[in-house]
Amino acid sequence: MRKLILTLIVISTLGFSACEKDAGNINNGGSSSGEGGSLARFTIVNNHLYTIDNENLSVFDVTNTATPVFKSRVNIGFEIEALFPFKDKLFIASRFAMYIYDISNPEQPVQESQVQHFTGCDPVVANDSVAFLTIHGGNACGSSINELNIYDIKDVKNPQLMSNLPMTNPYGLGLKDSILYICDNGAGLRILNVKNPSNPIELATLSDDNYIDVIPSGNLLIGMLTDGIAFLDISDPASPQKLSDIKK
Amino acid sequence: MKHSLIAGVLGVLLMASCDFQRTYPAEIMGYAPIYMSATDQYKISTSEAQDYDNPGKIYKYGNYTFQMDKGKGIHVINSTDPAMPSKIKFINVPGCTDISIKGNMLYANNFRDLLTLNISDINNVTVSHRNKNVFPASLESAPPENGIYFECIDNSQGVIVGWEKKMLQNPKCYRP
Repeated sequence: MRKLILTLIVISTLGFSACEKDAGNINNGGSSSGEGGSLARFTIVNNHLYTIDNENLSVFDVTNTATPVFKSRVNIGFEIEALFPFKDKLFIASRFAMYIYDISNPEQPVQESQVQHFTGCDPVVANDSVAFLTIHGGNACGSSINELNIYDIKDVKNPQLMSNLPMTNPYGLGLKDSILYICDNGAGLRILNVKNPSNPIELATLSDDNYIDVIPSGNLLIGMLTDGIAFLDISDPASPQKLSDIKK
Repeated sequence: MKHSLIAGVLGVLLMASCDFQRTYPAEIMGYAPIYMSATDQYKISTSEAQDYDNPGKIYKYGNYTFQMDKGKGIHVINSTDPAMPSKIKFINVPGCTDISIKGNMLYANNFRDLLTLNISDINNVTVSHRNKNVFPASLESAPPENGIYFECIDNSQGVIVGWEKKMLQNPKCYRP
């Protein structure tokens, strides 16, 4: 019997996904979409909304934004945790595996690969060539793994582990340029230079708050905290400056 | 209800699958489900800004940042000046854990439904559409922690809107 402990996973991508490039033109009228964190279960790619529940990926046509039309549903597996879009791919993280779906035909997602050697947990992703994945352990049926894994995904069907780093209890991730932010619950917000993904370099840890997820948006980093929200300036990505927070 | 029953059974099977030999203590710290009645599940409204109860996921859309309060709804934060953000509204969406936004339409899970809210006037949020029964009964089919005992789910009491950590008497379910 498998004894899997890992729970969450997350995704992040170099230069945030293309579908969100026009975000920010808020207010009234536009058809742009916004930006979610790496723990998201909903994501919009062009004119389609993708949602995951515990087992399924569902597709809605939101060409007419006011009235989504349900299009299809694909059974993925158990304990699906998060999804992340990158170009014509969807990376879906479950407690047991990472799935990569091709959405070139937006309403007919096709499974491209299923990677279970991620020690049973969740994934996430990156730019054209690198995927960043956090694994956080629980305390249930066995040992506990807490780490960051970096994969070479040039061949999407055969990801290769490039490096890993021990973590305390990592959740969400965010990437700006070559700087990776990791929400390491219990330790803080860890800042890594991943320009060379085979050899990530730890730059600093902001330990004043408990970060669970982040959204890098231009020069702004928005942090989900266990007790609220924080806003940081990342004009210098390697050196985030906290601007404000709202807490319980 | 049929689906929720199936989901519940599957959930219990899944949770029990790790260790069939487990013994269940008479009293132990764990989680109990918090239920909501069927009539309250689909009540959507907007109110003044509220304090956090259980801060959840975040989403940025233009000058606004949204933050879920798990199972309760959505805090609307004006983050035009990120050095001075302020909560301006709370959208009550029972069961909500996730949102996404496109063209001033906010999509949220409201238990089994996908809810579409028109937020073009944040002071007057309206329900634009509802795709009914597109999601399983609850995304909260397991307590938010591994390796923990919990009170088994009783779907006859409504849907689960959250979990409360407390001392349990004779719990019969366990999440590995």
